[in-house]
Amino acid sequence: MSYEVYLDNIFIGYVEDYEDFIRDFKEKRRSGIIPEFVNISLDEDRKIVEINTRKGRILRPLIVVKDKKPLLTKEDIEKLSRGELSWSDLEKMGVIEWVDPEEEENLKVALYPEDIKDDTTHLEVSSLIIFGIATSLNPFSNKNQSARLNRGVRPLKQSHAIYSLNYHNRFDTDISILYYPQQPIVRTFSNKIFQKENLIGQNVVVAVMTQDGYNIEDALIMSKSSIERGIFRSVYFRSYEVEKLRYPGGLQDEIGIPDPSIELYRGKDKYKYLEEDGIVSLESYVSADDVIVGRTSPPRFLGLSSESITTGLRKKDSSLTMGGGEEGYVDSVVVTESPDGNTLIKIRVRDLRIPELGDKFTVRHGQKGVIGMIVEGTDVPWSSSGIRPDIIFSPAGIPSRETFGLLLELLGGKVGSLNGRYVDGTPWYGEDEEELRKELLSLGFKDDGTETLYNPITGDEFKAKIFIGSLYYLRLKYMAKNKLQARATGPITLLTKQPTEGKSKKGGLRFSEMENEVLAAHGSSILLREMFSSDDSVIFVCESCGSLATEDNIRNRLYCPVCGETEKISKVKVSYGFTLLLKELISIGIWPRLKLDYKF
Amino acid sequence: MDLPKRIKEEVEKSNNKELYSLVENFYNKMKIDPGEPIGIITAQSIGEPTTQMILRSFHFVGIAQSQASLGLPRLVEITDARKKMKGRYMIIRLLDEYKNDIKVAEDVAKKLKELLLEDLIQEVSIDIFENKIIIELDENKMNMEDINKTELIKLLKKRLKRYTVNSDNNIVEVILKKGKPSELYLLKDNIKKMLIKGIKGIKDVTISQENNEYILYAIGSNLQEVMKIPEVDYTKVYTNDIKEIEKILGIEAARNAIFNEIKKLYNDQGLNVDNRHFMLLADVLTWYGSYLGINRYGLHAEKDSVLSKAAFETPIPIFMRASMMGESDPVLSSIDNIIINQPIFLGTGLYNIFYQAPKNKE
Repeated sequence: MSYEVYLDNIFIGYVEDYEDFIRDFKEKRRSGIIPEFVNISLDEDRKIVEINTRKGRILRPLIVVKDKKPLLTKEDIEKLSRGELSWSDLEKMGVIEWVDPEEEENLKVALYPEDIKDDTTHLEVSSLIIFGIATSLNPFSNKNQSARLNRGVRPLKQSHAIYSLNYHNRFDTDISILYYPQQPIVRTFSNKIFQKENLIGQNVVVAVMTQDGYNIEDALIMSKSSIERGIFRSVYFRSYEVEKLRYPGGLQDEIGIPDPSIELYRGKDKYKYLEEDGIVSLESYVSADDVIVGRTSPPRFLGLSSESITTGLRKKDSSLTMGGGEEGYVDSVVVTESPDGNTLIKIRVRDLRIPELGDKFTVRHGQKGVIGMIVEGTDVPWSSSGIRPDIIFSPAGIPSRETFGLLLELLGGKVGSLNGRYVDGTPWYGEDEEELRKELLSLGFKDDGTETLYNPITGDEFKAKIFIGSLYYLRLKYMAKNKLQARATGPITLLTKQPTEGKSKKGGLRFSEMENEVLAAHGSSILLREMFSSDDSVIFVCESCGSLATEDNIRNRLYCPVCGETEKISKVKVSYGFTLLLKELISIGIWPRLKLDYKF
Repeated sequence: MDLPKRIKEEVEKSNNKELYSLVENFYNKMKIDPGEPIGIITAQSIGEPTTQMILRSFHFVGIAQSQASLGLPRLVEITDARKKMKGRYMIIRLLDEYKNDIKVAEDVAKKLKELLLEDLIQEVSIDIFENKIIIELDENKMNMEDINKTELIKLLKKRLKRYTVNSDNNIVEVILKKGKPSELYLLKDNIKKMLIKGIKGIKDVTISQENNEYILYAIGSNLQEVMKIPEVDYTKVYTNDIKEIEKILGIEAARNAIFNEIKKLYNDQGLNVDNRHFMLLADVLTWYGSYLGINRYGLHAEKDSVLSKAAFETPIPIFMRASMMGESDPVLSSIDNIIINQPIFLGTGLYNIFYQAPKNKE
C-alpha cells in the first residue's frame, strides 16, 4: 500500500514503506541533516505523509524517549546548571525535539518519567507546560480554583507597569506608568526568566480584617501615610492628535490662534495656553475643555466659487480640546506629517495619578477590589513590632472564592520579607507550607501568620489574632478619575432632542424602564413625569379637527393648516418624542388626530 | 367595623376591646391604598428573586427520565402559555380501597402505558406498484408486551375496515383499491402510530410507594382519559400541563394550576415570595377567560391601547393596523402617559380636582 507524500501541501510522490520513511526522516532531523523545525506527520485515514516546513506553525519542545528511557540524563541537567551545555546543544544532540500539532498526533507523550510505557515516544519537559507565560507567573496557582486562575491572569495585562522602556518617545492614547515597580517576593519559576519585563506591581503589607465596614463587598482600605510615601503612585499619559485637513477647492484648515470673529469661538480664556503658532506650550497645565491646538476650518457647505465667502459664510473653529474630566501637564508635542501629506500634530498630556477612592487594585489570584476608604496613617491598626498594614483586605472575600493561593502567598510574603529572600511559589514545585510555617516560627512569629494587632482608636488589643503578611498587589488601569461624570444641562441629540449618551459627549444618565417602574411603584407620578421631561416641547392642537396647528410668528397668530381653524387652538405640553412620532406618521400618510380633555 | 365578617366574629368572641382595636389597626394597615400600583409591585417582587434562580435541577422521585424543565425555563414556559411544553408528566393516585394494593397499581400502570403498532413490528414497507403496505410483525416484541397475534390481526382488520387486509403468519398486507402514492405514505405513518393498547400520550409509567400508598408517575399527559379509569381517584390526578387543565377542567382550574405551579417553582428554589403576588400573576394570565401568555400574541394582543402595544414589540404592524381600522387610544395606561409625557394614572396621579377652571381664559 503506497502512501502519498506532500511537502507543504504540494504532492511530491509516493512512498511504499512509510514507517521506515518517517523513522529515517526523524533520525536525520535528530542528527542535524534536516533542520529541526521541519515536521513530518502521518495521516492513516487519508493515507498521507505530510512534511511541513512553513512558518506560522506552533512548535513545542519535547524530550525524546528511546527504549523506555528519556534521552535527557541527570548528567546533562547538571551540565546545564553549570553552564557547560546549552539548549541548542541539546537540540543538536537529538535530546530535545520541536514538534508541531500535526506531528504530535502520531506521538505518545508521557507527563512524568514514571508514566513511560512500552510505546511512549516522548516526555514532557515539565508539567508546568500546561500554563501559558502569563499564567505561570501566578504563585501557588495549583492551590486555587481553576476559575480564579483565569481571573487572576487577566488583570496582569491591565496593570500599571513599565510596559516599554521607550514610553517617553511613544504616543499611546491611554497609558499609565508605575513609579516604583517591584519584584514580587513570592515568585515562580517564570518570574526568574522574565524578571526584567515583569515589574507590574508592588509588595504591600496586607492585614486580613475589617475596619468600620469600609472594605465591604471586595473594597480595600488603604493607609493614607502609605499613599503619601508613594505607594502605587503612577503617571498617566493621554495622547491627542489633530490633522490640518485639505478640502475640495484648494481650501484647508489653518493652525493658529483662532480669530474672535469666527463661528463657534470658545472665548478668549480657552485659548490662553496656546503659543503664537497655535499649539499649546510645553509643561503648561491644561484642564478640561482647554484648547491645546487652535484650528480654523473653512465653512462647511462652501462651493468652489469664492463668492460665498463674501456673502456671509464664516469660518469655523475646529480646535482640539482636552476631553471632559481630563487634566495634566503638556508632556510632549510633535509636529509631523500624516500618510496623506497633511500636517499632523500630536500632543501628549501627563497627569500624576495618586491612588484615590474608587481606583481598582488586584492580587494575582482574582481578588480584585476598589479602594473604599483611605484611612489616616495614625488610624491604621499596628502590630506589636510597629508594622502598620498598607492595605486592609476583607476576610469575606476568601470563603466563597476559595483562593488558598492568596493565603499561601500572604504567608510566603511574610517569610520572604522577614528573611530578606525570595520565596518560590511555583505551582507543584514551590516551597512547602509546612516549611514556611517552621521558618516563620523560627523567626519568632506565630506559625499561622497571625499577629496581635492594636486598635488605633482606643489603643486596645484586638481580641482576634489578625492574619497579616505581604502580598504582591497590582494597580489596574481603571481609575475613578477617568470614569467620573455628571451633568446638569448639556448637549442634546438633533433628532429626538433628548440628552446625549456617554461620557465623551457629556451625556446624561439614562432613566430607563426599570427605574421608571420604581417611581411608578411608589405612586409618585408627578416626579415620574418630571424625570422624563428632558425633551419637553409645546405643540399646538386644533380642537375642531385634531391635527397639529401651526404658529405663524410673523402675523402672530395660530391656525390649523388642515381645516383653517384659528380660534379653537390649544397649547399642549408633550414630550418631543411624541411630537416626532406624530410627524413621522403624518409623513407616511397617516393622519393622527388628538382629542383634548382636561386632566386635572 | 370595617373588618371582614369572619375575622370580626372571631375577635368579638374573645370579648376583648383592646384586641379588637389592635386587629382592626393591623387590618387597616394591611389594606392596599387606592391607586397602589399592585401590578408593578408584583412584577418587581417576582422579578427580583427570579434573578437569583439557580440553574441546578432537582429531580423528582421515580421519574428521573422526565425532561420537565425547572427554574427559570419553566417560569418562562408558564408565563408564555406555550402549547408545546417540555416534559409533561402526571401524578396519579388510586382510590382509597385500592391505594395499598400493588396489583391494582400494576394493572393500572399497564392500562395507562401507550403501546403503538411500531413497538410491535420489525418493518413497514410500501409496494407502490401493487398499491399495498406490508407490515412485518415481531413475535419477540409481541411476547414481551403480552399481545396475542391473532387478536392483534383482528384488531388491525377492524381498524383498517376501509382497506383489504390479508395476513400470512407474521406478514400483514394492507391493500388499497385505488389512491395516490401520497395517500399510501400517509397511511403508513398512521399505521405506525396506531394505538394498540393504553392511553394516548402516556409514554412511561413508574410506580412508587410513598406513605404506604402506591402512586403512579406517568411521563406524558392525557388528563381526560386517565380520569376515566375507574380505579383512579379522579379528584387527585395531577398534570403539569396547564393548557390541558384549561381544556378539560376550565379556566378557574387553570388559574389554580398556574398558582400552584409557580408557587412550587419558587419554593423548590428556596425563594420566598408572597402568595398574593402569584395569585395576581395567575389572575392576569387567565382573566380574558382563556389562558394567554405574556407576549405579543397573547395578553398584549388583547390590549386596547395602540401606544402600549406599539411600545412592547413590532410597532410598525401595530401602527399600520391602527391607522387602517381608525383605532383610538384613550391614553389611560402608564406607558401611554410616559410616551406623551403626562402624569400616569397611578398613586398621586390618580386624583382629579373637581373644580373645573373656565376654558380658554389663559
